[in-house]
Parts: sequence; structure tokens; C-alpha cells
Amino acid sequence: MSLLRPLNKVPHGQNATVLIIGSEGVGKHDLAKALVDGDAECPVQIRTASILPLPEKNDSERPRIDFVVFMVDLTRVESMKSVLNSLEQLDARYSLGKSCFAITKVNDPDRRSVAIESLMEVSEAYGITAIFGELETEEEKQCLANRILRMVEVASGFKPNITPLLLETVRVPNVTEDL
Amino acid sequence: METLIVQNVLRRCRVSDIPKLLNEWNCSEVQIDKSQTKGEIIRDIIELYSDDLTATKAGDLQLIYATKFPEKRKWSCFHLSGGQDSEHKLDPWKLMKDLKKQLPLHFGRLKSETYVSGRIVDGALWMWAYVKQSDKFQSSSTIMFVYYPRTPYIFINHFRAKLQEPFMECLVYTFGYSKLTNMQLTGTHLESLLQLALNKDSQGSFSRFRLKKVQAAPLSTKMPLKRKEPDYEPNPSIICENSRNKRRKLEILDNTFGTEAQPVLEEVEYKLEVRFRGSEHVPAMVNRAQPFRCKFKFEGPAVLDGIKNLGKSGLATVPLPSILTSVSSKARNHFVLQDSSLADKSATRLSQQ
Amino acid sequence: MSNLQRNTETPSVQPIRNTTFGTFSRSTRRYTPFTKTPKSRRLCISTAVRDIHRTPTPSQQTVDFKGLTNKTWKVYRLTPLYRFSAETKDQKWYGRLLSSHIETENQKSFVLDEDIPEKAIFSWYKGLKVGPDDEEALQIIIKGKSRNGNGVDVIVLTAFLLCVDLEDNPVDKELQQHFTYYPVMIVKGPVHSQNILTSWLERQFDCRVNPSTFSSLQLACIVAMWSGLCTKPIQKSKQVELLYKVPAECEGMSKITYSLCAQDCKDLWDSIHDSGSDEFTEVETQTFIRSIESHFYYYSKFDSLSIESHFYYYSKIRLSAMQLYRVGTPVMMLGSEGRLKIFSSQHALIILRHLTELSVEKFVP
Repeated sequence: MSLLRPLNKVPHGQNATVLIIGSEGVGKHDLAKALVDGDAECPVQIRTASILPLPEKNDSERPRIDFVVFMVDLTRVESMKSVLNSLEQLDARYSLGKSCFAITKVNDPDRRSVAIESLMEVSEAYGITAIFGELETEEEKQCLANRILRMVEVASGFKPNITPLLLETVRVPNVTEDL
Repeated sequence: METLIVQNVLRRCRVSDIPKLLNEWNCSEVQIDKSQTKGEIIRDIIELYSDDLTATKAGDLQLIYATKFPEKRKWSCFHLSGGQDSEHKLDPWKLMKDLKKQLPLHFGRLKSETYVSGRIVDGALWMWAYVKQSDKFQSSSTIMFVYYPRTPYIFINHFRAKLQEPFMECLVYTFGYSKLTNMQLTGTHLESLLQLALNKDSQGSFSRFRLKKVQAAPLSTKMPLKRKEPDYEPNPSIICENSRNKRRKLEILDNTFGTEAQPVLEEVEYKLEVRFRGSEHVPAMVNRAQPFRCKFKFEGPAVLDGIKNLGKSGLATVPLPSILTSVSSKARNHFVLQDSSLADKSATRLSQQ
Repeated sequence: MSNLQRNTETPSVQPIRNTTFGTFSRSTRRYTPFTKTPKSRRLCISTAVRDIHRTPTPSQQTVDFKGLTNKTWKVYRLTPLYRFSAETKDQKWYGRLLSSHIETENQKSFVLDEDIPEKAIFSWYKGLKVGPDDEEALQIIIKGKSRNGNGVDVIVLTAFLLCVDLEDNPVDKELQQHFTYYPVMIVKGPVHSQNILTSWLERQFDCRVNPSTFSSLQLACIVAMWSGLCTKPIQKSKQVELLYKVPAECEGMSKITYSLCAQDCKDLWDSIHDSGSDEFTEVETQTFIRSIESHFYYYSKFDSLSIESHFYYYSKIRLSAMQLYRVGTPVMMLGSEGRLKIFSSQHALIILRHLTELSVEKFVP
């Protein structure tokens, strides 16, 4: 099983490549479109997959992955499980600001099937930021996309003098039960 | 009681459909005053016809309503078997006459009056019978069935259990067969039920030869399959890593279900009496000898399409198991799965019950 | 929405503070729902309380809750009632007030198809006050004329305001003398009358009445806890039912009903949970549900737990991707929109206790 590594290829230079991982039906394509249409400093190329590891056939054509987004749908337990499985195939260096969780369907607490606490525990354990959002209206999609794009720009090196590790050191941790 | 039947029928249909219905019933033009409420219209109609309203005539109205709106009723399919070819099976008019004579005789054992009415619609025989067991009108004593000549299948609606035995006997005797078995096939869409019953061997991917009237031989492998264009425009910046997988999945689904529309079924039910299989996380249940009894039912407007879509949307892993894909070729929608004998605990087979 | 847009429009001179973290902290707080799911739940009434309750009034043990069982109730949750007095003379006064409110509502609008409410009667319902913090359960009956026009007096609506085994009252100590807290109200009656009752309660006691809704997680927890509840052997006909709604993108199928034989379910639950303790942990309930789902999956591969994996084994369908919206066990049935039906009167207390707990969790003072 090959892990997804952040530094095993030469960077593209003009594009930022984002990989979106999530089970089917979670909204990867909507988010991908919003990311492409969002206001980023650089053109963004998106690759979508349902699980890691990625199929080896495309390995040679695939550019270096700058940023990984894991999509979780709160109304589907299965999306959380597949993301957890994929996390094991991710190289540890992606946790240093080069990946995030995009969590959707937050607005309706009655249809929720995933316990948010367990999601937060995973996010703390791996050190990956969790971003909550919705993909229902255009505005919400753009909001979520823009927040992800801010992190993508830093991770692909398009912001001078800022590295993802620098951001990680000043990241505010999520509010946990103790507070 | 006759007025109750008429009221029942008219209340169920829409105001715009009432003139059509009455037209066919009484062969006379009826004017409906659109400004009145439905209740008032119904009262006027009953007043108009109450002079010569017999139970048979009221039943006729119910039968016409059933022929025009068969999807409002749940039909079960029965199979006639073990008979010899005889002339009258081909002639629906003769059958209707015979049934009108035989049904009251068979129900006469229950000491109740029977009213029978029948119609031939598009070559199919539709019959209505009401067994009067009390002064009040009981809709569960109404029997309606449809017979398509030259087929061994009858579609019967649901009625009370007490009347089932004499009715079955009557059918078997009149049609000239020796046995009437329940096929465990139910639904509201008569057309689909008939398709499933008649075309057991040309469902799934073979249905394209029947529905599209494709000329090429079914076993020839040179036939190219046209793939449908994807719904969205491919964006050059968005690349799907699993597109090969997705295409393969769609191919498998198209091969099992065919690209045409599936017959419409409202529910598919499975009863399982099999070994418990969730025991990875419950070690104590691994050695459990007794079967784990459970039942699951899929419901919706078009369940067979739904099963295909479950596979397409990733909610079910493809290739789908045979119990889901073989629904259309088995001509039934209630299945019972049982573990085979104690000797081989891990195998399961589909049992016909 | 407006504060999010403000953040993204700030100039990129200081990108770190305003855009990345500004949006991060404010919007996650906006979106992050912090209703906590407790790790473990109590199943039965704690034994200490039961003993206290048992000794002074032995006659109350024979209450059979006939008014509560075998009826379909709609569950509401209430905020504390201000200035609710528990004296008997005030009961009559409340009855008169509600009756006059009903009259004014009747004059305003007239609903044809439902029974016409007229008079209201308040009374106490004994047997549900279990814990030391509990209030006596209140029963409200609205009588009126039936819609058939016979002029017969019928009971139009029945409602109970309940508080069963409240662990600790969320209302502050100083305010407790002014506020009475009934976490749960169950109502049976036509929609119009229910609206009249809720609007009167809100006006009279300055509280909020909201319909209770239950999420899939809570329903899964409930079915796991109570399918193993009956101690004596269960009849073959009783079933444990789980209804799943299929997501809209899968056209053609609307729901999947998964029913299990109650006895087998109980055996499964007993093998997961040690019957000695009273507490149910979240892990156990998740184990139960997932094992049933994976049994289903086998027949129609996922590392899911029991019930779901049993389903997966047979059907290759992942129930965990679908939304559970109704559960039924031999003792009760509950839907996610708040419809409740209790079948067994001996377990009524436990069920109502759990509803109280769920309602209290949602209450934020």
C-alpha cells in the first residue's frame, strides 16, 4: 500500500492541486466546482477520489498533491468511516497544515447521525483543522470554498514568507468539553 | 347498500373524472354543475339513478372504476397449472358467462347471496363479485380479478380469508385447471406485473431485445453498447481519480439490469432465517446455532429502479448480490431465505415458499 | 451569514489574522453545534430513588398507566413555566382561563373536519412523580362536541405535562420558586386544538413550547437500549423495527424497513452488554446497531458493527449511509418527528424518564 506523500514529486509552480476525498454522494463535485470558481491567487486543479490509496495507474500523470480535503457528511455515518479508513493511508506530513476536514450538513441537528465529539477527537488526534459549512446554496458553497482556498494558497506556496507549519503553530484549538 | 357502493366509488375519484365514469356506466350524457361541492354532486347523481339501481349495476360502476384506475388497488398474481387445453380458455366471453353461473353456486355453501358483474377491456376479462354476508356493505367482501386469455395468470385483489377457499375452487373448476398457486407477486401496476410474470427469461440485460426490438442475436458479442453521455460537462480542472471504477460499476449495473426502464414494483420483501453475520464485533454470537430471524422490505414508487440506483449512487457495493438482481427474473417480490441443512452452515439458498 | 462575508472581504494585507483565523473561530462557533452526546446513559430509575418512593406509599405501585399506553402521542418540550401554582383551586382557575381562550379561538377561525373543543379540565395524574426534583404530572383534558354533529360530548384532546426522575433541575436555585419545570409534554388530539393549547401555555406562563425531534443517533441509542428490556421470553410476533429513509438521489426507492425478531435481538443485546450494570455506553449501542446493519449488508464490507453488518452481509447495502427515522421495539415506537406510542405499561416510566432526559439536554437556560 503506498502512502500519499507530499514531497515525492516536483511542484507544479503555476497550479495548486487539491485532492478531495469523500464517499459517494457527499458533494465532492459541488465543492470542487466552488473551489475552481473561487477567488484564489492561483489556478486550482482538483482531483476527487472516494478512498485512499489512489489508483496506481494514474500515478505518473498525477501532479504533486498540495492539499487534501476530507469531506464528511454529518447525516451519513458511512462518510465518516470511509474518511477514517483513508486517513490511515495519509503521510503524517500532510497534517501540518496541508489538509483539512470539510464537514457538511451542519444546519439540521435532527438529521445528524455522526457524533460531533468523536469527529473532534479525530481532528485533535491527527492535528487536522475541521471546517464546518454547508453546500446547499451558492453563497454557502462559496464561503466554504473560500475558507479552504485560504489554506490551499499557503500550502501551495503562493503566499510569500508563510508556510503551513507556521499557521499550525498559531492555530486555535477547537473548544473541547473541558471548557 | 347499492347506494353505499356508488357513493364509495364516486368519493374516491376526482370531480373531473366523474362524467367519464358515468358515461360509460350508463351510456348517457351527464352534466355536472361545477359550482357544487363534491358531496352535493354525488347526492344528485344518486338521486338521479336510485330508481333502478341494483347491486349488480353498482358493482358494474366499481368495476369500471377499477378498469380505469387499476393502480389504486393492490393486485396479487396467481398461477393456474395442471390443466388440459380446452376451447373456452381462449374465449373471454364464454368464460364470463361460465363464471357468472359458477360463482353464486360455489358461494351458495356460505348461505350468502352473490352478485357478479364482468367486462371485457382490451381483450382482458375483468370480473367483480360481491358476497353479501351482512346488511352493511363490507369492502373486504368485494372480489375483483383480471384474466388475460392465453396466459395461466390471474390477478386478484385482496379480500377476506373466509371467502378464499370457495373462490379458488370455483376458478379452478371454471378454467379447467387443477391447481391455483400464489406466486408471491404483488403490486399496483398491472402492466408491470404481467410483464414480470410472462417474461421471466427476458428481463435484465436481455430486455433490450424485447423492448427495443433489436435484431441482432442475443449471443453475439459484437454488439456495441451505446453509453449515455454524462450529465454534467467535464471541467478540465476537475479530475476524478476513480472514473475508471465508476465506469466499470455502471457497466456492471447495465449488464445486470439492462438500460431500459425496469418494471414497476412498489415493494420487495425478504424474510431471512439465516446465521447472524455481524459477528466480527460481537464474538459471543459467532457460535450461535439458531438462525437470526429478520425481515426487510424495500418500498417506494419504483423499487427495481431504486435498487439499480442504490448501486449507482454508491449506497450499495457493486456487484449487487443475486437476491437483489434476480428479482425481475423470478417473478415474485416476497422472498424467504433459509440456511441450508445443518451439514453446511455457511451456504444459503433461496427457497421457494 | 453576514459576519462571514465581512471576514472574507477584508484586505489581504494581514491574511493570517483576519481571514484564516477570523473566519475559523467565528464561523466554526456559528456552525459547530455543541449539544453533547453523553457517553453513557442510565437505563433504569436509580435504585436509591426507587426505594425512597416505595416505602411510604406502597399503593402507588399498582398504577398501570392505562391512559398512556396504546395511544399515539406527539411529544413537545417546554421551557420552565413562570408562576405556575400547584394548588387545587388554581387548577379550576386555569381550566376556566383555557376554556375562555378556546372560545375566542373558535370565534376567530372555524375548522370543519375536526372536533370542536369547548371546555378544559386540569387534574393531577398520579404515579409519575418519581424523583425528589420531580413535579406532579399534570393532565389537561379538553372536551367538546364531535364533528359528526351528533351533539355528543367527546374528549377532543388529552395532554400530560411530565417530569419523570429529573436528575438535577437546570433552573437556578434562586429562581426555582418562581419557575416550575416540566421538560416534556405529550399530547393527543387534532392539530388545531394542539395549537390552541400551546399558544395558551405560551401566553399564560411565558414559556416556549416546541415539538420534540429526535436525531438518528438518539433513535439508534433508544432501539439498542430497549430491545433488550423485556425480561420474560418475548412472543414471536413482537418485532424490533428500524425504518430508514433512502437519500433523495436514489430515485425509485423511498424507505427500507428492517424488522428483527425481538427474541433474537434481545439475545444479541445480552451478548454485548453485561446484564449486571445499569449503564449503557455509547460503544455498546453503536456495536448493536452496526452489527445488525452489517448482517443486512452481507446479504444485500465494511468494518461496521453488528446489526448493520448483518444486513450488509446479505444485501450489500450500507444502511449506515441512510437516515434512521423511526424505531419500534416491543415496548414502544418512536419517530424522529416526535410521534410516540407506548405499548407496555410496566416500562412506561423508563421510557418517559428517558424522554425527560433528552428534553433536559436540549434546554439551555
